[in-house]
Amino acid sequence: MVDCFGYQLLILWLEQSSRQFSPPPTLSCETVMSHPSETVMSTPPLPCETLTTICEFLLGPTSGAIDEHLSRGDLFNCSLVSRGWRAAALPLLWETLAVYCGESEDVDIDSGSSESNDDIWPMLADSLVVECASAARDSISRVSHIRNFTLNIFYNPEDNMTHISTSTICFLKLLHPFQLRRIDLTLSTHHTNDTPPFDGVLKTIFPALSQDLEYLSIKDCGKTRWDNSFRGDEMIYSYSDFLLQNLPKSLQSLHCQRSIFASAINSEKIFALPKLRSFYVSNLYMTADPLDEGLRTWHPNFDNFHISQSPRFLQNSVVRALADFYPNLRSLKLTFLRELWDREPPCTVISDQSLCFLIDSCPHLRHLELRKVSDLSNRFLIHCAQHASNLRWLWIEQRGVQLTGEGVVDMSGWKQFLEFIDIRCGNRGGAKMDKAFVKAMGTNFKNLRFCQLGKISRGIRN
Amino acid sequence: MTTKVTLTSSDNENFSVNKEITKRSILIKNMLEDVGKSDTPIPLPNVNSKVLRKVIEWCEYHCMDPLAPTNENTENQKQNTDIEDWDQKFIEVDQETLFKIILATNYLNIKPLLDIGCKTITNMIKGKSPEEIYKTFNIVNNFTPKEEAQIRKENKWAEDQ
Repeated sequence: MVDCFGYQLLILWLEQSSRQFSPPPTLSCETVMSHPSETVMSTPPLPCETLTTICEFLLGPTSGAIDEHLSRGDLFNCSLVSRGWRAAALPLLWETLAVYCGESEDVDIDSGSSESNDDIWPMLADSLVVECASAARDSISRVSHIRNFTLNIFYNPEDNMTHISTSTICFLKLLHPFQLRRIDLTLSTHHTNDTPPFDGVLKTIFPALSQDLEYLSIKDCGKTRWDNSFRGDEMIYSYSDFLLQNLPKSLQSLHCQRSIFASAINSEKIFALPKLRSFYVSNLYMTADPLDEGLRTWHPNFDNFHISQSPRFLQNSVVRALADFYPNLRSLKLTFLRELWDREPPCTVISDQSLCFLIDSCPHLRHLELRKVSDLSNRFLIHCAQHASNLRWLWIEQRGVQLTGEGVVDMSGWKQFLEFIDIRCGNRGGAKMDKAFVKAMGTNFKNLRFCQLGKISRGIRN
Repeated sequence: MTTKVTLTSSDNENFSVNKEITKRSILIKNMLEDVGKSDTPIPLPNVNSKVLRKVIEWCEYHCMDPLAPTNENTENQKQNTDIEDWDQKFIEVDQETLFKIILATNYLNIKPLLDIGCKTITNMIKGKSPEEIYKTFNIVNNFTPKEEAQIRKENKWAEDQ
């Protein structure tokens, strides 16, 4: 969103400056285009808010200020056209700043395709610092438009990244405490005994600069020597430990993905987030108490709950609490796939009773995914087929063989919207499904695009 | 029997339009609610007859569209500059008329038609250099030399990369 106050100040500045300067002579340079050589009829000037709408349509889904400048993108070009166009383009051009540093090879997460900004970022940070230092008191700097900050660090101890860290901290000190709305952090480091180099960056952001943060994504990809001697309760340094202790109360969406299964420091209050609507964590090894405590504090319209590889969070009490407190829940995903950690299976398996209660309590549920966390029987499937009337996606994998579809006759709940169903149970998902159920699933579902029941797959239908 | 409303353009041409159709314009809808029952023509001093005729044509074609899109749709539309076939043909006008339609819909507060106009401009901008944008829209560069120097300084980090 465009900062209206900042925008007005910018317009004010442009109006004032138009009174101070004479009409510009022709100039030629790489970044500011020369004036047209002949006098031309100007089209009717469009109001600022219309130019802003035009610029909003130019805004790509992933582009940030650095990419847009380097690729001479459309928004960047608009910022060089005239004062009015610049006033409209700048807040959007600088809305998102995405910095990628270090080599991204051998990282086991999707890290995006942007190239490293190791050389550019210190220069840009300097430029922003100089601009803020020399700007007049009421003028609008590029930094003031930034609302979304992405920092992707791929740290190898052999690389000296001190200058990157220093530049980032200098830049962060320019930001207002309530300025940032969204932060995406990807922090990948080879495990060493040294203090990780980006501690200072994180401690500058949290909690001081995250006071109005709505969205936080942490991909903590610490790497360690991966061997069988590693124990689940062993402490590994993890950036996200610090971040979890400092989650801002303004958060609406939390996405915490760790690539290693590691302990986190317990604190009952860390998930007490009254505005939260979406919660996704993976590889958290801590007791369920903070989650139990937090679950009762979230926004009444909380709608997304995803837990992966965090065995102590996978409990019937969590499902019951979701059903009790969040009738608008849209998506529930509970997964525990990594075979390496089978020595610590979920504390309890998700049962028929708690899930049937959830189906009844959350009528808007669209997405239900339970992979290797449940021990459901046909009783659940009978209830779900009848009552889950908004369900689009159902994916259940479990080791037990009770879930065969036998007795599922009334499928009126699934009739209208079900698009995807995948049910596999028993060893390698090979347990035999009930023939009548399989046959019934093959007919009368107008929106069904994928159907996998045991070993029988109906593939994708367009 | 349908109720008609008279709209008067800046060049004093009257248009008798179905009341429900005029409510595509939030400005007129609010006016009608404020005035109540009245036969007095509504003056639109910022819209000439040529443009008003086009705007009414669009409103008549889209009279069955939902009045307020949901937030979800608005978010999806933000990145999408596709224009439906009928609207694409409708908006194939000379540039002066296009700008006047945008100004009129901004004044009349008809968001869907304003978006179509803005998307058309956006599609004309895509892939163009600043110089080409000047030429396309006959825009006068009004930066002062001092401002241009400042912009060059601000963008120096991105040059020669």
